[in-house]
Amino acid sequence: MSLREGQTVHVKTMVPTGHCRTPYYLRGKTGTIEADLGAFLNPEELAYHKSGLPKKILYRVRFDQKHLWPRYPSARDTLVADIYEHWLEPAGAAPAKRAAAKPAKRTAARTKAKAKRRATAKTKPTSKAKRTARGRRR
Amino acid sequence: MSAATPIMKSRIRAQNDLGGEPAGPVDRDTHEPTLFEKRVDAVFRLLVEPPVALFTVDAQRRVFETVPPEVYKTYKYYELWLESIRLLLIEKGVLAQAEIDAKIAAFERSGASPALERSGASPALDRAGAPATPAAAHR
Repeated sequence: MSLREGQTVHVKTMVPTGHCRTPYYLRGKTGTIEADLGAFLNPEELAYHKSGLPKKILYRVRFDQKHLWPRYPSARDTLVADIYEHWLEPAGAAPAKRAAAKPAKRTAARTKAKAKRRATAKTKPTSKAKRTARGRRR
Repeated sequence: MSAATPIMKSRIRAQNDLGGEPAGPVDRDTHEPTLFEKRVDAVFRLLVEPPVALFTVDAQRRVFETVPPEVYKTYKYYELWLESIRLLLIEKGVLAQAEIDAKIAAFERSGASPALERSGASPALDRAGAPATPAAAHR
């Protein structure tokens, strides 16, 4: 399976009995592929002194914090996690729309007049830049 | 505890997988690595890296994560490292528990328990029995 940058993915809700590297809180969540980090020996196999073959592609996936933690205060912050391909499956809907809708609403609450201008002119580039900067720091 | 049973089958969420669980604020205190911590780290690297490459960091994580809950909760970070090294040395057949016990007994008879006393290792390790051995061997 090969996933492409920008693609929306679900993290599988598997609960394996052995060692794995996918945090529990990300299982069943939806994120966006940020990068293909290359193929690595499978740590779930290496953990039991096996060869780790076939190699698995490791993807960098970005999640909205608000999606992971419903009471999270900011709709702009994101979390980045490295997840192996066999834990991911392509998702249907694009969460980009959902993410963009919330900050726009909050702005509208403050100043209605500016809100529309901002939503159309500024939202896309600014919010993406901020999200990237914030994500990197984590 | 048994060294040969790495998987806890009944566990739904691994004991180490705590993200999002209520746990209070993160303790951000730092300290200089102690002699004990440096020794554990050195032993670990010697075992994991070539030419020895006895086990992988993934195997160490697996063992680290599946120690009994009372061990997981009470041991300090590097104590857990050392415990996982002990378990893996036994799992891979490099050392037998009896050999480790014999070495500790020999140290105790000679009145020298140098690694433990100078390292600041906690009494928890003492009770668990094994861990002074790999560090002591490097003296």
